Amino acid sequence: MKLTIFHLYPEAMNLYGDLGNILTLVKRCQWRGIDVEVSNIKVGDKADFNQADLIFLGGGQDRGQSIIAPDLLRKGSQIKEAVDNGAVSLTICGGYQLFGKYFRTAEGTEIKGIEVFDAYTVAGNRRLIGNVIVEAGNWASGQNQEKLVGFENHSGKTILLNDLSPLGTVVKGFGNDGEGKTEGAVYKNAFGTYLHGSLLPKNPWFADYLILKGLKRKHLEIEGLDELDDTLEMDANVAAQKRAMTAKTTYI
Amino acid sequence: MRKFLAVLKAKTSVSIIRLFKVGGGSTFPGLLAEKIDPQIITKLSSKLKYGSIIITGTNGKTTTSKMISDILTKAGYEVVSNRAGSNMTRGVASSLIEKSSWMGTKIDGDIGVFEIDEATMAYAVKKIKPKAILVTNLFRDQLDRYGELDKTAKIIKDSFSDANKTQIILNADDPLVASMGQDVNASYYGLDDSNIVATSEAAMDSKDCLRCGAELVFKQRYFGHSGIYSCPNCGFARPKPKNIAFNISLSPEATFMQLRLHSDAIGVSINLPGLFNVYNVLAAASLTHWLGVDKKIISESINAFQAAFGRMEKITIGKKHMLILLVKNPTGFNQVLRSITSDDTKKTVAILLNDNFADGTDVSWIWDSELELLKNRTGRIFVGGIRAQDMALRLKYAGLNMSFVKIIKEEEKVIDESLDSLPDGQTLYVMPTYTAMLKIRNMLTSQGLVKGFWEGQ
Ligand SMILES: [Zn+2]
Repeated sequence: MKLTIFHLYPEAMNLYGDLGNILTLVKRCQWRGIDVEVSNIKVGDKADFNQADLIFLGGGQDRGQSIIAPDLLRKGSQIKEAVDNGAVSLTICGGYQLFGKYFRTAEGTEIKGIEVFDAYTVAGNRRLIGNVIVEAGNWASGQNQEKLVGFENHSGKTILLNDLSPLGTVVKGFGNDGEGKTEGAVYKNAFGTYLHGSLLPKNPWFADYLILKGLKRKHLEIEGLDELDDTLEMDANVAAQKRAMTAKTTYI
Repeated sequence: MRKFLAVLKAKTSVSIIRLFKVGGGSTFPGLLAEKIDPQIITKLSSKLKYGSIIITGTNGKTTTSKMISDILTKAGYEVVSNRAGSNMTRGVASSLIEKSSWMGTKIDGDIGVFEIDEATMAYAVKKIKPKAILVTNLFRDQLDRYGELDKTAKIIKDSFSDANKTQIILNADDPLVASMGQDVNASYYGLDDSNIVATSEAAMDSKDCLRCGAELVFKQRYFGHSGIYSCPNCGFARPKPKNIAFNISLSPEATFMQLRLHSDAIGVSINLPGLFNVYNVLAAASLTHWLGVDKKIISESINAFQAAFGRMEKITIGKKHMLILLVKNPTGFNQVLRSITSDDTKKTVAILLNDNFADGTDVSWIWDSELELLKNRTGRIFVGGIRAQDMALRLKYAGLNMSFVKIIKEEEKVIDESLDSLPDGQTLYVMPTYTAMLKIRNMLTSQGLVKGFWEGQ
């Protein structure tokens, strides 16, 4: 049994500990004896997204985003097709924005996205920064945990259109558009979010959820994953939640 | 009258604050004085006969500034500097007030050496009107505070427009810094040593040309994004520096190197490890050489250099030693990890992670740091600070044996307990973030083990 991860543009898009997410997916597979392979996809690389169980795209600076955007656009239809066929994807911050329809910068230029999410992003005039707690949406029912904790730092405001579901509701923090209501987006098995921190180490149930969904792409028979000792993970989760509740959220 | 009032009020607050030892008192008087007279910095710094120098950049500001101050002091200058680690303009105002007469008409000093936070550069340059600006390097640091790295580069570059006659001294090896040399009076420093080669791809913060966005080609990489590079698209390339360090020899305790400063050549050794300190030495030597300081004075001061607190300063407590290595961003952390794991002995280590404003409130950067380097190189590891659990979790995913890792939240207790477990004659390696370092420092100061904030560093 093997999980194949496509890590998109690990060099241009690696802000805020994105590697921690990959490391978490890899380790949690290895600890269970599941083979895992990470393919790093760079600008210009040919990639067969039918092979991907899990696609990851992290955040980047504005410059990183504009460098990869044209290449992502070329791969867009393939990625959408893979997602429609059940591939899992996790996109964070800048990556999440580019999985929407477009990102309109402060200067008014529109960077086109690949429209996995029926959402768009516009540059805001302040940075939304701080610890975040999110109550996961309906997709997480049946999980024994439902809270996600992380750190947000974005000036883009993401607007979800039509009936696109958010990743969850904000308990603490600014969320998608700074209003403190919704955070992230979910379409099939594609998850977009502003949370880094890194996100997955402190939210092991979500990491496992993604791993299981990813494995099911080729191994429908799997029902669950072996349990791991997550004491330390959940201690860190609780500590981060405490910090989110006490620390002042700021914006600059 | 306004200046008099500002100096008078602030002077009073200096003594009151020092009396009660509230936070060392290093920024409060300046804050007060700037409120009363917004021109106070300009008025007082203009009284410095030889003008002022500004040092900015992500890493090495404090060490480089201290080295420059030491060299200038030895050369006979009366230095005014914001040494107490308050590198916002308030700290500058405080240090000027501290050295000024009650009426603010005279100042006890003839040259200013100010370390300035990247984000405050626009304001600081306008107020201080420096004769030289030194930019050390730009790495990811507390992105939550400054936005993004490209923006930080722009803030610094834009500040030069208020400094048209100013000498700009830039690190040629850092493409983000070197690209600021366009259209200004710039000179450069850099390494010239084919034996220094980066071994890791981690912490490559900036691989793209800031001018055109194409990916830079590195002929040689020293660490992170520092090295010898060129842009295949627009022709931007590492400027050839007139100040260079070569024949560099690194060890966990000391560093030797030769310097060529224009036509002068010197050999120096410092009791600090790490390539970072080679850059600090080279930067300090380049700037003071430009000021006309004799090469003999430069090399003697560097050889006698004592680190500032927390910057690899060694403290002896009874029969045990403690080396405190401030960590604040992935590149700096990696350098520290590399220097302490460069030999095979198993080290006892304490890591303290806080997420207060001065530390950076976002702790994700620890996931970009190579804690994997500690594997098989450590005995016991003590983890503390507000986000101790995050650090412990990072160590777990780095593949360390967690039965040797102990979480103790309070900074003071971490030091107590790790020193307790340390055998005589050995060194405890402490890696704190900024506010954790201050706590350790206060604890050691109260026990008389290190000098207080104000007694010179
Ligand atoms: Zn270029």
